Amino acid sequence: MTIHAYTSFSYSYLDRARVLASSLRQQHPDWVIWAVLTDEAPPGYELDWSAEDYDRMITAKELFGDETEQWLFGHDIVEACTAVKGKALQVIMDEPDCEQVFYFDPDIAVFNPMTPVLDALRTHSIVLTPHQIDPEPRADKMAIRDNEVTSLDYGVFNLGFIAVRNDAEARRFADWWADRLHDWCHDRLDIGVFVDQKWCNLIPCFFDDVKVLRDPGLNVASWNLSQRTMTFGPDGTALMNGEPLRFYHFTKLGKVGQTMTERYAGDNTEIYELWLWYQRSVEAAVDPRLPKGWWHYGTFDNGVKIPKPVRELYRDRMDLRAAFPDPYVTGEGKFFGWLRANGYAESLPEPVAPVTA
Amino acid sequence: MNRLLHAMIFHPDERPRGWIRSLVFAGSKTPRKSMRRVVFKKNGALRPEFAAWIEAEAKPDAPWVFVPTAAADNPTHRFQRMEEVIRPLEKTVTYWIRKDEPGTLLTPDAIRARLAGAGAGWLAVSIGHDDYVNVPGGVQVCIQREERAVVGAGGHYLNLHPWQPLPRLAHAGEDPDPLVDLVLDGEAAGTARMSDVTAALEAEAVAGRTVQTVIHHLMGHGSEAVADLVRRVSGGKCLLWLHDFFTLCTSFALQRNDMAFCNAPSVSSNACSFCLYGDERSSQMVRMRAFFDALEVQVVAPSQVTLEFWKNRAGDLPVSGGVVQPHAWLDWADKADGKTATGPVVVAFTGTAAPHKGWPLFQRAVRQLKADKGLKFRVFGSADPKLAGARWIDVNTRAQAPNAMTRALAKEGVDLVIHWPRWPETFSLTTYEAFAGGAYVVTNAISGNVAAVVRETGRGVILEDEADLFAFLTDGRAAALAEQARADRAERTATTRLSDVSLPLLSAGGATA
Repeated sequence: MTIHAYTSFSYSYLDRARVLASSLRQQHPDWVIWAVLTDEAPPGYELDWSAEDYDRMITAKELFGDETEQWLFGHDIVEACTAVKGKALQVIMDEPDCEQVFYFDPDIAVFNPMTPVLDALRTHSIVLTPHQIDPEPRADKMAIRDNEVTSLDYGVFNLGFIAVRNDAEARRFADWWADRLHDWCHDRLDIGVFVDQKWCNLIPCFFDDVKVLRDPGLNVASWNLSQRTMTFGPDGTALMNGEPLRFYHFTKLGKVGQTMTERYAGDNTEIYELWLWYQRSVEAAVDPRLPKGWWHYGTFDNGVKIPKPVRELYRDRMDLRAAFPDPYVTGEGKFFGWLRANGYAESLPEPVAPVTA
Repeated sequence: MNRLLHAMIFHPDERPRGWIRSLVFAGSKTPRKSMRRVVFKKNGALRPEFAAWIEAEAKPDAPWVFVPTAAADNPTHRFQRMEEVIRPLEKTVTYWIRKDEPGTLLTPDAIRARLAGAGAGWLAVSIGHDDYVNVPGGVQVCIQREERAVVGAGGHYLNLHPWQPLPRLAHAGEDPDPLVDLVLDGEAAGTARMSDVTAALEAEAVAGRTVQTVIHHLMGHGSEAVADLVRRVSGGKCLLWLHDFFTLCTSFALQRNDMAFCNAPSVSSNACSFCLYGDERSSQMVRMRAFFDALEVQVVAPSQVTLEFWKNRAGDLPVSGGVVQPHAWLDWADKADGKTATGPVVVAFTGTAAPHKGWPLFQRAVRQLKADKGLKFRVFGSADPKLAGARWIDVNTRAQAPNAMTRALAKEGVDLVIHWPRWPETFSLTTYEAFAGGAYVVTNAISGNVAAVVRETGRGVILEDEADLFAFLTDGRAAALAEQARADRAERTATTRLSDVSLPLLSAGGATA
């Protein structure tokens, strides 16, 4: 029996995904690690996947076949890389000998064995980790707003991580999740949807044998640092509230992540040591051949970036999808021309030079 | 700042007046823009007078506690500061690289000619990490004493230290045959390739001269080149001093990311993974194993607690023996007409004002308690750390003036020396100096030989943590301990007897004679 783990990313997150795979490989050398790639390589660029810490790589195109391009046009990069997670879970669960499947966001790094999750999966089908496991003090209104209110808005469980046992109940979950993500994986807080995450508030309602793990060493991130303190044990093990740090979610690498981390890490210097290690590891994992911000599905074929309102328009209007089945292609009678002719030109940036590796 | 403005803002004892807080600070710790030049110096450093208001709640030893800047109101200033503090080791190396050239190198014949010029007699070769004659420091003073002892015993003393100092071992890729500076009987004797030094000393040994090797530090050296020298000139035997823990980690004081004591965990631990020394430590430990495997190394520790700690962490590194050779002893004598001191408790910091020696904690103590009429603070050292509320006494301890610190402590009537290292000190001459100066020592449990000696002599106290220390200074325990120290020094006096470092082990035949 084999344990599989996967993550989902585009080439612009290859650096982070490399850090994840390398850290996971160190802790669980026998696991099969999958890269789910919602992207195509830039012209002239080739990645030797056999040299990576990934055992398997599967593209969105391989998962979704002919509908891929048209379907992905209705998603921005975050929505797209999230929308493929359900289908990927189904495919991986169909692998022979697949016993358990773990999903990690690419901006996670694993520091100690996933023992509590493995233990939980002996008796449960689905393991979830909440954004917060301890309430904020009543007087700390900023923390309540930043953390608890945000969880109410965006989903109480963090879907940067989920683990399932390959049994009937988990398969029932995977089927439901794949369906919802195919049709509803959008950043639409106005209707109560936030990609895959808000849907998962419903998991304990719809499915049995769900375990909500409240281990402070799991899924540590800026949104729960207010109630967690990092230390090192005498043997050098990184600890969170005295429990081994299993994995840390380095969400929003850069100023935004630093601001929120600093707000809640305060003087817990170990957190900054950890972040600095991550920043430097990611820098070292950058592939300099990749064009900055590359995403194959991010532009029309003339190099113009596809604005989010255009994506929303396309996915909302069945008539446009029917009339322009290949929306990326520009030229006479194509969607791009239709946009210009129908008053959407202002939202289109000017074309830029074609990008090559 | 003009005097009138200064007088309006500060009390005579330099504390900022309470009424100006709302004038100076917009938030609890954020100075108003117009007041930045009052709170911060031109170079961005915080004026010590305001430190208590800005730093009081910061975690002990957080790097922003030492060097707060005008960026303190920047929401990511801790990240920025941490990036400066946790500098990649190889970046540090680039700062250490010399820009000059070594000049004419000595040939093996030239080295032999210099040895011949010094005269006949046995030779002690010491391996060190810097120029012990000109660089101040505890290890350097030990080497100076050892040199004098060897020369006094009729031998000659040849010290080899890297021409290019480094904060780690030399890498083979940098210079496969590193350059070393030679110091012969205390005089600079030129620069040579390590292979040429080895060839010269091997020829001396073949010619009948007894050559014994003492390793004080390997930092900056190629450990393979040193092993080759020991094998060819001293029959593969050497003494290796545990002045610190460089044989266990590149961070010789075992400071994870130069921030906190790490306890020398396994190289595969999380702590090592995150540490700026982690990668180098992994390769260094492979080279150390090869070094110990190749030689008969007798480790020499200045204290029992150090030897035990090292053995425990070194695991199965093979050694031919381990001995304890203290750097000093105290000889106690009764005092006939001693008088018991009175007045405020005099609390001191002695030595280098470095974070791993506990300087930040002493700073915080002074800032918080300088108005306490029951306490007086003093700082003894060779450089003025400019700490408001603590008078600095200039003391330069060198081999030529070994009792300077003791005399200064006694003269100032110091009752308690706060010695709060955040690593296990291997010996701590400053603790002995404190006792000889009539003071008791206040320390923590991880301070290595400091705590061991305090425990053994009963002259001081081992406290739990910083909170316990602050409580100790104000709840009457400090006054009681000071009273005990005063009574003790009224009746007894101690003199420090310094050791001859390696000499007894060499002349006694120990490992290499």
